[in-house]
Amino acid sequence: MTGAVPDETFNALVDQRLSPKTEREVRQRLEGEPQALARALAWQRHSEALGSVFAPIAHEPLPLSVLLKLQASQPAWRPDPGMLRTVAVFCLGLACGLVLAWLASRHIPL
Amino acid sequence: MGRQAEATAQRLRRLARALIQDSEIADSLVIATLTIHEARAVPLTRMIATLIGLRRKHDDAPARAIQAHPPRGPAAPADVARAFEHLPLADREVLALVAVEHLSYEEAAAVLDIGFADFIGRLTRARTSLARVVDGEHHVVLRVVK
Repeated sequence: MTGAVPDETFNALVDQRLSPKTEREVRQRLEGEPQALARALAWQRHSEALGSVFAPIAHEPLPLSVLLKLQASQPAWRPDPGMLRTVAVFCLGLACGLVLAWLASRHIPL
Repeated sequence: MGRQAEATAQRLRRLARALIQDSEIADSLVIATLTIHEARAVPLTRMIATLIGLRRKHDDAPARAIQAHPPRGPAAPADVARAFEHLPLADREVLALVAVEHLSYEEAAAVLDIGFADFIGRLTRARTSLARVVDGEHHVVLRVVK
């Protein structure tokens, strides 16, 4: 327990993971405990500081070694069987159309 | 190359850098993690668990000496980061998963392969330790001596 509030709830307050209603209730309970409230604020500041210090790393360009690893990890391109079926049906239809057009041009006088 | 794969690698790099100061070792941990999960689509949390497992095999560099200074105003983010570096790895793990990676408590407990109650206890201890180093129980600010 962290003061009048269970540790799980206290940490969730610090991380702003409580519903607005629960947060109001917890803050009311902590009103009588200024030390606990100050601790929650300090812990929140520390978490935000850590988040802000490390956040830019996730936006840095990847180093070449990691990029090469990612490229090497990509599976060789394999066509999707569904796409192959669609292409085959299209080609078959096109071939039939061309044959019919050719036959028609031979047997139907213009 | 998939944008998602790049984004995953960037998040793994951020976590690795939170857990180890040497950026080259951090990148090698990311590469080792990607190698283990070679071309397989696995959840990010599983990759994070792998990275943490690999990180635990690395010894920490000897802790640098720290020196007490008179109290100042609220700690700057850089001060908090410096204090964070001095925490034991177990404390850095829980804080990094929650404050840097923003995992839910359930996800973070699963990554560390511990029960929920243990996780909450560890998170509370880690925050207490960090606050002790940042603010100083004896009203001192700890600074790194280069």
